[in-house]
Amino acid sequence: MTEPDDHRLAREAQAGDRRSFAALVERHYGFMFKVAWQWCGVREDAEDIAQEAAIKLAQHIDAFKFESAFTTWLYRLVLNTAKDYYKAKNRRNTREQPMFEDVVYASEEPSPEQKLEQKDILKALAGLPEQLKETVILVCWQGLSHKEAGDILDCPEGTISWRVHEARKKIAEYLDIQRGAKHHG
Amino acid sequence: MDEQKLKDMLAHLHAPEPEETSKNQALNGAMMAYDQKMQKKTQGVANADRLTGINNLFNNVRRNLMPNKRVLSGLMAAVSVIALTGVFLSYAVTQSGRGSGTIDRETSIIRAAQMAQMQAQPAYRKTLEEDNKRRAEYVAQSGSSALPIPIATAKEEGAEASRMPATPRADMLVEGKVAKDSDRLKSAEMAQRVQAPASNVVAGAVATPPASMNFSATLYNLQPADSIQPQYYKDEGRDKFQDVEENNVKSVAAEPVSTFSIDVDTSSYSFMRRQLNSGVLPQKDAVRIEEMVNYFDYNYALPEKGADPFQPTIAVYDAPWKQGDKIIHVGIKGYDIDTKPRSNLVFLIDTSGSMNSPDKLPLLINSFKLMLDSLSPDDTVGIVVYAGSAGTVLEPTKAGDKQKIINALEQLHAGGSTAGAEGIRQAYSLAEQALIKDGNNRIILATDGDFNVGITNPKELKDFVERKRDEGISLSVLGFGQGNYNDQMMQTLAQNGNGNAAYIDNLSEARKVLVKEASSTLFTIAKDVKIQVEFNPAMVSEYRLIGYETRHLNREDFNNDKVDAGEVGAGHAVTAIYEITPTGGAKAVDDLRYAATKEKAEVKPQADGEYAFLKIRYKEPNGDTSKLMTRPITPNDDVKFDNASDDVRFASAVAGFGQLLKGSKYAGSMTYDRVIDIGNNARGKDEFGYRAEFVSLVRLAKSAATLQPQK
Repeated sequence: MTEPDDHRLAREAQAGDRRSFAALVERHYGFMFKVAWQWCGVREDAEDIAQEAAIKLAQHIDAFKFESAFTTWLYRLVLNTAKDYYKAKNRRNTREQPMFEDVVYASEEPSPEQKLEQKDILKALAGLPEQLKETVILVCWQGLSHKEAGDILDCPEGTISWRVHEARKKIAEYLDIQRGAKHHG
Repeated sequence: MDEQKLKDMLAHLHAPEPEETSKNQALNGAMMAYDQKMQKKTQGVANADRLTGINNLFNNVRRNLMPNKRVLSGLMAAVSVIALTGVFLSYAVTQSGRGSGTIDRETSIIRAAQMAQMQAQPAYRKTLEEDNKRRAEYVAQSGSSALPIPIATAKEEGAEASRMPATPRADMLVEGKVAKDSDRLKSAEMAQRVQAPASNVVAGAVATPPASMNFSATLYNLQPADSIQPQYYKDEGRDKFQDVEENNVKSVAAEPVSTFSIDVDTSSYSFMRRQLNSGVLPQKDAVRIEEMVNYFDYNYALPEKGADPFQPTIAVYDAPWKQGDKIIHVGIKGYDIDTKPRSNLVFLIDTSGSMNSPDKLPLLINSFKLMLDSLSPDDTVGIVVYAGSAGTVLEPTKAGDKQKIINALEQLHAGGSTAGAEGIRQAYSLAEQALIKDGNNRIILATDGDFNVGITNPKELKDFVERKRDEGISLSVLGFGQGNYNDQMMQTLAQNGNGNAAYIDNLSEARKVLVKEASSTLFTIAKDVKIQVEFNPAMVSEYRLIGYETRHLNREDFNNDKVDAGEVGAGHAVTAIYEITPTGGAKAVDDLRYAATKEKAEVKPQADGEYAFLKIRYKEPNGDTSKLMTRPITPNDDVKFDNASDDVRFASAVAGFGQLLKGSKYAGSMTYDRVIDIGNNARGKDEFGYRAEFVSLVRLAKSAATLQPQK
């Protein structure tokens, strides 16, 4: 694990070593971008969010208290940045963009049905209320435990479990409606 | 769907790679913020003060230009002059030398478009490259010379340098502002391409089953996302109407001539009806009296075959709302055509998210289906949608192939924002494809009004529509829905596209506009129809034109064939109403003390006793030179109000009602009850019940007026 490295770099960065800070940002930019993209589903927006988050990281590096993994702290930073970004963006009333168009498939290209279902799931995910959405991203997509997600989102494990349950229910409901529509239409 | 399955599925879906340039910008931004923070922290108050200039600069940049990564990176290249390590310097220089391929999403679409366009121009590209080269050199130079000297000086240098990279951007904006309209339109088009390939769009617009709309209804509030919409789009209070001052009383001595363009639009009436039916009085600016009057069909005398396309019907009677005043009623009705020219129609349909409401897209689709019945099998119909981006849904198809058209219509669903400009462009190119010489080539734009992406300046759209009109393609506008209805935009477009604007609030209105009046809506028999009335000061001391405020023309415009005016369609009736104060009557405007003698100007003997002289100019549908019709208005036209025709009395009731709704200071003694009374007695045949409906609307207005003060 890179954890000790992260902590060391963060400590040095807090002490004013800009090389360490540069290494820290360099190391985590991809991570910040990925979380941002999972949140917003648009590469360009994710880049903006990651940039914002990197700047915030510089400004608030002192706030990291070594009580958790560095990434735990970073998750929170990126998710908050993403939320703020969209608040500001909605205020400016910019146009909507299709989401998750630029998804990359891990292994071989899935079958058309699979693709369709994946697309529907992503759409459902995109439409979830903020709390449920961030929970699903952390637990189901980032693969964190309920406990870890609870640490990041600052709530008890039980709440995370409940949120995952709620989110799954809503996603399933959405898929049912989609399927229903496809059968009837 | 259990947790594990969801995890497995998501595990296969990866994020794309971020752009290398974006990453570098983010790193630069972070380093800059870090240095700033550390300087503050380690160098104490004095130094922080000295850095204020830079700080402010930085903050301004963050506030104003943050969306533009290129400026930011350029700025960072400059600020790196005061940065202390070579690592950072090389970062910045590489960065600034790279130029920008990224167009930021946050920049407004038009700016993005301008950038895209300019970057596409080789000349600009060259400038940009040179600029970048110069900038890199400058940074390298000043970097080497600035480092050894004290930081205060370096700061100056830095500030100076920081202005440099921002320059091309500023120029661009200025250039963008003065860019020609046509360029702007092209830019909007380009922006569309940048944003999304057209093929996606069509898929986005039609492919997803309508059920997805209901999804959010049963679930929860969704972030706006592709093809997922809030159940029904609701907008309130954002209807836009041009604020127009009511025509006032003119003194014949000062202004003996009144000139205006006719107006065959009816949208104001339907909009008012809708408001009244929902229990509120319409906004005053939404009431255009001439459109209310012209909503109804009047049986004015038709011209003889082969003569002019219409002939005026005149009546002079006592004003029903002001004792002593008279009304001059001018009605014209265009002849109806026996053989329709072939039609080449392109439906340009707004499928933006705001159209997702039962009184918008679904009503629109049904309206167009109705209209198909009134077309001949040889006529062609094409469909273009716009939302987010524009796309052709149906290539021009013969109306005989009705099912194909209906299928295309039924697949439409609302989603995305409105890229009206690109939609218009595509619609015109489709119409050009199927152009019928001497036929009825027309775009029928159906929207709830707003073109909120692309060209938002009515003037620019207007010019485009005007140019296309000269190429033989007209534009009609059908308005739907309320809450976000941009009345002025629709009026402007239709007025400049040789078309008409109608507001469709229900299916029976759709039937009226698109089926019953299809020929008048679609076939122009006279264009640029202008009316000029010269009043005789010996008979009339004051006059006031009721309505037509937005159609006012200058006196000299009447004979100027270059000046565009309204169109009359086959079978269209148009009414204009003047209220006059005969000489000797109670005047609203005092006589001029010093013009008193001049006023007694001699009236030509043959004109003795005439109220006024009516002149009408019009052009044949394809003509360029106007023809003139004239007719004196004399006491022979006098008629007692009660003996006037149903049409004349009914029109006066509508005008009176319009004045009441508008809160006009000239409403005089008119009351809702009197309007009901006149209207009821002047219903005539009223085959389709429009006049009966009018009377019930007046009743609604009466009760609404007692409940609420008007906005």
